[in-house]
Amino acid sequence: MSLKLNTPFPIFAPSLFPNPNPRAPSEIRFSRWGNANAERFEQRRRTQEELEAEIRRDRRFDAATSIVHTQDSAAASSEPKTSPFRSRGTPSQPSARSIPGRRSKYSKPDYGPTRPKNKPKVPDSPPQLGAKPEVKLSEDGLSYVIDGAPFEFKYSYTETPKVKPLKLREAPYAPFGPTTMGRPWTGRAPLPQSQKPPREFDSFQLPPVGKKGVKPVQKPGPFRPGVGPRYVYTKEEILGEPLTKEEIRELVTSCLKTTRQLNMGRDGLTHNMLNNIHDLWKRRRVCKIKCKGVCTVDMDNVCEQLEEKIGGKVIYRRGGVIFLFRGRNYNHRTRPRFPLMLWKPAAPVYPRLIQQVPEGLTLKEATAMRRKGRELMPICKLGKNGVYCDLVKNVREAFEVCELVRIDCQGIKGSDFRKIGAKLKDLVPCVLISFENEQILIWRGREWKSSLTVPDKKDDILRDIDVDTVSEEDEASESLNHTQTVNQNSSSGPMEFQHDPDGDELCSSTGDISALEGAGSTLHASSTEDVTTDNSLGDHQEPEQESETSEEINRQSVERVLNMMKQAVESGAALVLDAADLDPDTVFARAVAFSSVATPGPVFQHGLRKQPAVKKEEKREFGYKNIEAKTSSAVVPGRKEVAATVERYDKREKEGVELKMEELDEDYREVIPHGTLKVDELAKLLAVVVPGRKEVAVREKGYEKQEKE
Amino acid sequence: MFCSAYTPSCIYHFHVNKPVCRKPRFRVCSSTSSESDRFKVEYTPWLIVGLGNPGNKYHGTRHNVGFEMIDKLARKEGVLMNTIQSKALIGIGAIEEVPILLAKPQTYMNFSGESVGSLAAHYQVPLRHILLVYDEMALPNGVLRLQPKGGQGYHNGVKSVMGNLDGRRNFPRLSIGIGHPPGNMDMKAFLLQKFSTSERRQIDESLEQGSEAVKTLVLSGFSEGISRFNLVQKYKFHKV
Repeated sequence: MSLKLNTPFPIFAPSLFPNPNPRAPSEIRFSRWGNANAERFEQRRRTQEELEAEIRRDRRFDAATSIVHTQDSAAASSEPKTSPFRSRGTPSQPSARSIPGRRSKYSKPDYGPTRPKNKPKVPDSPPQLGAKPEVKLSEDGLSYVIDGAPFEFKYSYTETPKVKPLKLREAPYAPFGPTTMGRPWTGRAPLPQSQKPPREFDSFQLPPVGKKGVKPVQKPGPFRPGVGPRYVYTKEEILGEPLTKEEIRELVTSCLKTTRQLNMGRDGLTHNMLNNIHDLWKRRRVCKIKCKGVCTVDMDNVCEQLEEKIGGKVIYRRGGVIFLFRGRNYNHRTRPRFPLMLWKPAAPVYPRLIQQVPEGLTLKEATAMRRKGRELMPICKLGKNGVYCDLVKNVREAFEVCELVRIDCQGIKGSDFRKIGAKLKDLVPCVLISFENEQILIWRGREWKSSLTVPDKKDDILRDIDVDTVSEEDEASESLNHTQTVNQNSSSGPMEFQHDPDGDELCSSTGDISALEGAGSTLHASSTEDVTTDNSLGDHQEPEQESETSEEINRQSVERVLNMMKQAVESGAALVLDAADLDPDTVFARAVAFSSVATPGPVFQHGLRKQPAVKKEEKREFGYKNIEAKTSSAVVPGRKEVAATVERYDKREKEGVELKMEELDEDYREVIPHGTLKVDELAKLLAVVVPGRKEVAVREKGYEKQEKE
Repeated sequence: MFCSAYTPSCIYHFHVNKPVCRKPRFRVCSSTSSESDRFKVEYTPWLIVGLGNPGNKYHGTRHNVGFEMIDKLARKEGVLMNTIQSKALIGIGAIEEVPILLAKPQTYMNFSGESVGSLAAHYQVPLRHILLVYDEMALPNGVLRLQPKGGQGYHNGVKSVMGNLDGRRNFPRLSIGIGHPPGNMDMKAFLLQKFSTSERRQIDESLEQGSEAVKTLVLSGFSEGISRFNLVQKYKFHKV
């Protein structure tokens, strides 16, 4: 029998005690007690943490009790362990698997009880320097010494003044980061470790050519065929063999147009630049460095420091640009690691550059110099961040002329032009007088010696004279302003001639030649003396035989020229005017009038082209020259001559000297003027494009052909 | 008059045979003889050409400093310039046994080359003995420079001379500085202007110095004296 009630079963009275379990839904009206279905919802589940805590507690207590109960230690140790202890771990950290290393759907490989999440990334090469850097104040400026470093570190290797600083502006502290860390100091927590293993860049194992995402890398070298890259560690071995000219040229041309370059400014070669250069060398063989500003005053020093500190080789240097080659066997992996300088240390205090009274001068002299310097014209104007390679040379040259030199530095920063002044003081030995109005005023000092020899000395200064080879002369005469080189090679001998107006000096030159043989006359040479000198000179072992043979000719050279002029007058090529009538206008008018009437002159031809012809035809032309000179018939050349010269004119452009020679042989009796008198008259005639004339030429040519046949 | 023992061509061969060492030679000298041995003066004639425009209209202008230099030289050496040959006014003289030929081409500046070339050929003056005297805008006013060779530097006269000398550039030159045209002044107008008084004074001084230098050059060639001269000229206004 079932009870039927109006109200649903079970009957709930409004509860006096509100439901303690908030989870239990109030709608579900299950009985609290004795309801098996409700058990899941009724029973309060403990949280994970509580469970684990209880498990741990239990285990702890069990362990403690087992220790307590094992009174006999011997018994405990001798008691064989019934089973090896196997930790079951806790739910969140399960213990190790029985088959370690296996990975399945339900378990993961073993990482150990602690799993490292943020392991710091250690670079392959440990930092080479572990000791603490020391600050050192020395003659060479401020430097930092670290044990194990190849050299003392400085902030700038080229711009540190070579004077001992007076004092420091701040506490001596090396600007490097802490050396105890395995990674460079970035100011932040280390990044999470990547899954990929860090790979050190080895220059000899390049990434494959077609690989994507790889920045271009140049292969090591250049190597001669058969030689490969080697792992070497010393500077000389890394550089390898000295580069050949073609290699240098190739490297330079490949690097000229790169945009990737390092800039060197007023701080010169800084410490961090050493690292930058190695970074550039990672990808390219040649590093392009552009120097501007103060550091260019002493480019030699910059190159020297670069080669010394970094170990590359300077292959090209022009103005402010330097190309630095990394070395044939350079490997980025084995490069020296320098600690980076993290900030620019404050420069220490140096002694003043300019004193009120510089040494060697009294106050009065100094003020007088400063006053004079205000009116002096500056030798050059320097621009900001310019290239001042020639400054030292120009200052030295200017000192030859005047003891004070002024350089205009308007626009340059104060510290910069003071640095330039300091460098000049060392390089050009000079004394700085003033820096006012953005100008540098320098004095050459009392111990200044001119590098040029003084021309007015007439004595034999140099007894044993240097030999000037042919090549040296050419260079010397081409580079007029390289006074140093000229000075070393030449002597004061030529100077003698300058200031002696009479001809005695000159004659004494020839006389001295005879003096070598013992004859001592210094008179104007008579023909007999000429003969004797010639003969004796023939015996004497002088390298220039030709000059002796032409000596006798030199005497009459002036007369010869005069004779040539007379010829010209006679031939109608020249016109003598009255001495009274030399007004420019009249001269011009007469010249114009005359030029229409005069015979056309010869055309200048550079002698070199006809050289081989000349050699062979020397003797013959002697005679012919005379004939030609005697027959001054330049106006109407003989037909045969015309013919020959016509042909010659045609062939001139071919530079076929042999052709000319053949013709010369053929036209034996024809006069071949060496001085190109007739050729070029004809050339002029032919050049004038007049139809009539052309026919004449053609006819003459035809005539000549007949002649030949 | 004409000796058969020698001919002019001999000299010419001598110089042509040795094209490489055309500069005056310095000889090996082991004895203690005086140093005058060491330089052998060459007696080949020098052709000294001054560039300029003919006529009174252009007398004393900047472009005509070449003419003024030649006049000064002529006065110093006592050379009378009274011959017209190959469109130029020439005079023959000598500086201590070295024959010189002073020439003032009477063509206008652009065609000077024709007369120079023809003169050089006629008197058989080798290229290295042709001295060209002309005005140079790259140098400041009154500064001289003696060079063994050079370029044409926007100078039409020099350009024409180079063209007529077989395209050769390696003949010596004496450049007389006249300075830049001020501001935006037209170059041609500047060149055809006469000198101002202060400039005139500077130029006169420099002509004096220049004639001395020409003498040195003719007698001893391009040597240390010439480099010293160039140096002194470059810095002569930087004196106090």
